Amino acid sequence: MIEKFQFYIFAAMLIMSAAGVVTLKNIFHSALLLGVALLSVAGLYLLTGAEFLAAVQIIVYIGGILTLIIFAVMFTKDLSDKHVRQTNGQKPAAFMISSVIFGVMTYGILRSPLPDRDQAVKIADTASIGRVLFRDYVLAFEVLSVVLLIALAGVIIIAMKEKKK
Amino acid sequence: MTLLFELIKQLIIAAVLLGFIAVNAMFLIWLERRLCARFQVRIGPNRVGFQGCLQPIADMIKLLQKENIVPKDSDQLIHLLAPIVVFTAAFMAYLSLPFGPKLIALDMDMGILYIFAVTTLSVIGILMAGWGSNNKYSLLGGMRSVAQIISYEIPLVLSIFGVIMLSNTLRLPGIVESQKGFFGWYIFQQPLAFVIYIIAATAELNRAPFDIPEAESELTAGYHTEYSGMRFGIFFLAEFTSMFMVSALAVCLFLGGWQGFGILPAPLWFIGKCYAVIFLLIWFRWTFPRLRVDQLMAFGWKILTPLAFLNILVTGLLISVK
Repeated sequence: MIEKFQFYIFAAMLIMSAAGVVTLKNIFHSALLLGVALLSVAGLYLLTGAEFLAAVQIIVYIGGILTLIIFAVMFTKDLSDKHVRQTNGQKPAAFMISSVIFGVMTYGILRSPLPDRDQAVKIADTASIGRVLFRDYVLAFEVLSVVLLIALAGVIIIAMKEKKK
Repeated sequence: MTLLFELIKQLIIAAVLLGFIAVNAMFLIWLERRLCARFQVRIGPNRVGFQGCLQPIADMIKLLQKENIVPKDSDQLIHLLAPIVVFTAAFMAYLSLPFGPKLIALDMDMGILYIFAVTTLSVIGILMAGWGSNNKYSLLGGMRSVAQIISYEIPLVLSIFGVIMLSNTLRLPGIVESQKGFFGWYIFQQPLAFVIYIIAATAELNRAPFDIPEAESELTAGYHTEYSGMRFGIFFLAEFTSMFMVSALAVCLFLGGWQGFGILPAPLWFIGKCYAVIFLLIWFRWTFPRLRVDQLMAFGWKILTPLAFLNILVTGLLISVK
């Protein structure tokens, strides 16, 4: 009972804040509401028993990506002005594309068989995530980290070149 | 019925933790002021109550009575919410601090990860304070503060990896239980990690010698320049809250947590050790001069982070040799 109640609270928070992200005039407020949306997703993960995923969601998306977005907003003077128009004349196209994506996602989710809840919890347990990542899929994991490392090094090199000019 | 019972139970836990935080903050204000006076060969507040022990209460009454000034062109709502977000982030971490063998509000499988997750939320609060005040000092202070917190979070998290590898668990009570006897404390097996942790934690707290975000001589007061009255008080409360939290984490990870040697009960050992670490932090603050911004970043990225990686490597090698 209480879990259902919590689920609806988080879901409502998620939908309302996500709507706010795209409709608010002030882009700083949009960024903050994005944080609320990400937090609600973390809450939903917690409710399904995926504690590790919830913690990582907060650390990576709020501690890292959202902070970066807010930094960008604050450093860009035109963006952080209080009343900047944030829409352009492509509303119909945007509406069509997003409704198609919404339809496809909903169709896919409704059609695919969802695993039993207890079974899902067993998979998402922190220890088994570690076991899967570092034993069964260790090669993929290492390749991914090398790719990320290359991206990081690339960013530094590009930034250095621009500085020299 | 069980729902109501559960709700009341959780409310009581929250109230007890809040009470502890308030009393602890008042004690820390008194301790910091008295110790700082000692280090500077002054006497410090000693008029209100015995040895000035009621001084924090007088300070609190003063803050409550003060007018709350909000800058005219600031973002009112963000200005109001910022201190609340910062405090809540620090407060939520107390949920999984083990004060004793059974004395923990919520024993999670990934307690450490939870603490790091909720404390990153304070970054958002600081950015809100910097942006919402509509003041260049606040904005600069907020940015510096966040850049510093993000940079030092890396060595901070890396430094505890060694402990996690040795104890084989992310549960804080589990980590405490795996340190048996005085020489089982992880400070003896992970001395480098302890030093890195303390330095990075001082930087995370934005305390001197890493208090660049609020460097009085450059930025008036950093991100809380435009805060007065009780809103300023909440920022202060949040600072002492996270100071105790950081020390408590150090005690759990490196100093054997609630385990003691005498007849004293476990929670007293735990809190006593926490205050010992806090004493160290206060000592740092009033002894070392402030670093420059570039020195601070270079120190974090070029010295602390590689050392933390080295520590993980050596720990891993030693474990696999065993």
